[in-house]
Formats: sequence, C-alpha cells, structure tokens
Amino acid sequence: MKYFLFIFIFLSLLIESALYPLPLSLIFAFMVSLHLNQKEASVIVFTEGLLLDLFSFRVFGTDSLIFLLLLVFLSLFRQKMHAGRALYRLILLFAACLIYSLFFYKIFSTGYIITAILSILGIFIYMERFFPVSLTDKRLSL
Amino acid sequence: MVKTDKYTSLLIILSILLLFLDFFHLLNVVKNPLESVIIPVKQEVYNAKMALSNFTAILWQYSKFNSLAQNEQRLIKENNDLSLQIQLLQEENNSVRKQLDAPLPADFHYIPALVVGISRYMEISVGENAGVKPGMTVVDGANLIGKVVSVTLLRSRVMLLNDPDMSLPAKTSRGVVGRVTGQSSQTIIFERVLQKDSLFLNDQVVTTGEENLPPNLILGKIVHITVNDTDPYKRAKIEPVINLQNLKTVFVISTL
Repeated sequence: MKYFLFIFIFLSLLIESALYPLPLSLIFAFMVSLHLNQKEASVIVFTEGLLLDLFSFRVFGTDSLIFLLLLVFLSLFRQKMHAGRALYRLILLFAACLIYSLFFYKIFSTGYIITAILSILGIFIYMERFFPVSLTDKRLSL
Repeated sequence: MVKTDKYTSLLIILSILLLFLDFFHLLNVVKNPLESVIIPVKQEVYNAKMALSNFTAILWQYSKFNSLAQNEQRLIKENNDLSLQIQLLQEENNSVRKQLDAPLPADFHYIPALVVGISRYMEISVGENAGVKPGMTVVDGANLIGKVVSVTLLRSRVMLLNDPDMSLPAKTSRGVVGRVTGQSSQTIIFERVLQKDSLFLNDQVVTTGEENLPPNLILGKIVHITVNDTDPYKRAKIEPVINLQNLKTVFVISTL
C-alpha cells in the first residue's frame, strides 16, 4: 500500500506544480506525519518537500523545512489528535491548507475552497482507511 | 523538553542548509541538470491535461463536432486584433507621431517558449540560456500574458494577469486610464478609474506603454462595471480574450 502512497504523492506534486495550485503535497505531508512513524514520515516529507521545491520553482529546502516543522508540531499532539474526534484533525488540516495557500498561491475563491475540501476529505479517508494508527504507537514524549 | 527523532532533526538542519545554499545560488550546479529532466515531465503532464480537457469538451459538444468552440475562439481573437487595428489607424490619422507608437514594432525580438505548466504562475521552457530576464513581457499575438518574474537556466516563471501581485497601468479603447490588477479570486479588475471617466461594457482594455510594457497589448474586455458614488474611483471586471489553459506556445519580448 505504501507504493500507492508514493505514487499518489508524486501525482499530487505534478498536479500542484503544473496544473492547479492546490496544496495537495501539504495535505499528504500532514496525513503522513500523523499516520506513519516519525522516522519514515520525516524521510517522506523531506523528499516530498525537495521535489515540490524543484517542480514549483521555489528556493530549495523551503517546502521540506515547512513540512518537517509541521511534522514536529503534529508529533507533539499526535496521541491527543488520534484519541480525539476526526473533525478536529480535519479542521486543523483545513487551516494549514488555507494558510499555506494564502501564503504561496494567494487564491481565495469559493470554487477553490470546495476543491480543497474535497481533496482533504479524499486524502483523509484514504489515509485513515489504509494507514490506521495504533494509539500505543508513541514516538515522542514531552 | 521535546524529544525529536534524530533523523527529523538532521533533515531539518539539512533543509536549512539547502535553503541557505540555494538562496545564494550555490546549488545551481545541481539544479540545472535536474531541470532538464523536470521540463519534459511537466510538459507531458500539461499536454495530457490539455488533451483530456479537449476530449471532455468534444464529449459535451458531440453534435457540434466541427470544433465550433475553436472557431469561436479564433474569431474572437481576430475580432479583437481587428478592433485594435482600427483603433490604431484612427490614432495614426490624427497624429504622425503615434504612428511610431504602434504596438509590437518589428524591431522587437520574440523568444518562442513552450508552456510547461500553469499553477499560480505560468512556467515556460526558456530561461537565461535563451536570453530571458525578469521583467520581460510575455505575449500571445497582441495579447498580454504576463511578466517574467524569475528565471533559471532552462525555465522561467511568468506572473499572470489574474495574480494578486500583478498591477499595471492600462487604458480602455476610449482612452480612459486606470490600473489593471489581479485578485485573490483569480479575476482581473480595472480600477483607479476616475468617476468622471466613462466605462462601457465590451470596451477593450490595453496597456498604456508605461512601466516597461509595450503599448496597446490587449488585456481583455470589460464585462462588469461597479460604480460606488462614495468611492473616488470606479472599477470594472475584465475578462481575458484568450483562454490561458489552451496555450501551448507563448512569446517573450526581449528588446525592452
């Protein structure tokens, strides 16, 4: 199933950089950070960020740093978020997408928001279904 | 205290290092060869998307298979070009000086470029190696597409008219001046028009020739006018004449 995840991430990079400025990579980075263990997730989001920088013409390291910082932030609340309602995760993911979009793409329209919500729901359901999390899987401690 | 995985810490440091190196263009040796791989990949994705959108359009208009939509686009473009020519000829009759200001003079040098993708910016397949520099104008015929904002060896990024950071001086075919700006809703607005000046629907909006842009490049036509008496200015919504999603090739003007 991880091979499919890599394919989806690569497709999301292409779509985001060549077709439509929707933060699909960020959505994947967010969900990967929550659903995979930190070691795996950090390598995936780092690589994803570098590829996005390369494809999207940004300064190398920008997105990888953003995604890694997001991962660290999410790791702090990983247990609580998985124990809580899925809605909280969705709201946080939507907020992250909104901030990222306003900063990098500067788009804010009804059609854009609807597309973003649908993408978030799609990726969210995919990750919840195929990469379920065990709450005993504690990777970070405070 | 937060304990972070050592790989994560290492990758964060590596990201910061890469950011620092690339900021000072020290990674170009690595990035330039990679770009020659990325361009064909993105080009294929963009072409596939165009083929898919054409296919769905044909499905929707199966009964009108003889590409009525394409003919309409061509006629609109021709009509706009001709309208612009009429306007120019009238001006030339009034003043010999304006003859010298005709749009797109022959001494302009055009660099053809393939469109690699359109996200927030349009990405084109020419860069420093073809002589492209930031600030150069990108056109399709007499239509302004945007301005080059950043360049690498092999590709360039073009800021489009609907970008929120885009702002350029413009005038209507009747001579009313204002500024054209992009909006976050991806629409184009003709604003800063004095209340005393008259705006009309379907009037063409073109560049004035200021701010290093060639004069009389078509930006679009007025489709909606907003007037608020308490506002010192009025504004209008502009619709571009060309559909950016159908563009395969554009031209960079390099003499300015």
